[in-house]
Amino acid sequence: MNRMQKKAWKDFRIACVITIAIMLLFGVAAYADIKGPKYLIIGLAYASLCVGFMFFLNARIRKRNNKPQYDEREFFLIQRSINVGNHVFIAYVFLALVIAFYLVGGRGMVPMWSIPLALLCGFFIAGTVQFLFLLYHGKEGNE
Amino acid sequence: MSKDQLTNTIRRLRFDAGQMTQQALAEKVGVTRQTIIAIEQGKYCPSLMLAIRIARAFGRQVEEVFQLDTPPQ
Repeated sequence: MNRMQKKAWKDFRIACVITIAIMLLFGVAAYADIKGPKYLIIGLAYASLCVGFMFFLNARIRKRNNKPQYDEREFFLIQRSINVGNHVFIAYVFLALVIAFYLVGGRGMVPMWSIPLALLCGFFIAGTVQFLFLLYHGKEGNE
Repeated sequence: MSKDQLTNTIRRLRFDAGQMTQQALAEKVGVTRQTIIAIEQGKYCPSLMLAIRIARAFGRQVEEVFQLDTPPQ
């Protein structure tokens, strides 16, 4: 396994962990029917702490592991995978909006939790596409 | 859209340079072995800077290493 494939797997694992953590969080919030400005402030503070901790952890790991310097082809592949992932996300949002409209209708009611969940699904699908793209194009040079 | 194809003689030049391995060339020009393989197979077009570095590694001009093949119209 070369370092592009290692990077793809690492990114995919991180995406899985983040998705599961956020889904658990939203699940608890939806189950407890949390609402109101008090919970909003607590939620925002919690989210800020999580993001800050992730950045801190990432910086520490990179410092310790001597972050690999990608060469121009690897950098090009990473850029392209991000580009493809973005396109997939836009396509997903468009499809999700059209499907939701035609399934639920203009005056339908959907539970609030379905919106962040749908958005999270989009991020996860885009991340998975990026992972598959890097995995496929990363192995090209192995022959 | 341009249908020009970039070909190269890296494989032959490596063998001319005393059976230089892909890994050795990669280390010399500062890229990974996978990148050298992709360039040799024509799957990746290197930047001008990398092309010059590869040519210098063999002590050649860039045009001797890389050629632009234009298909007949």
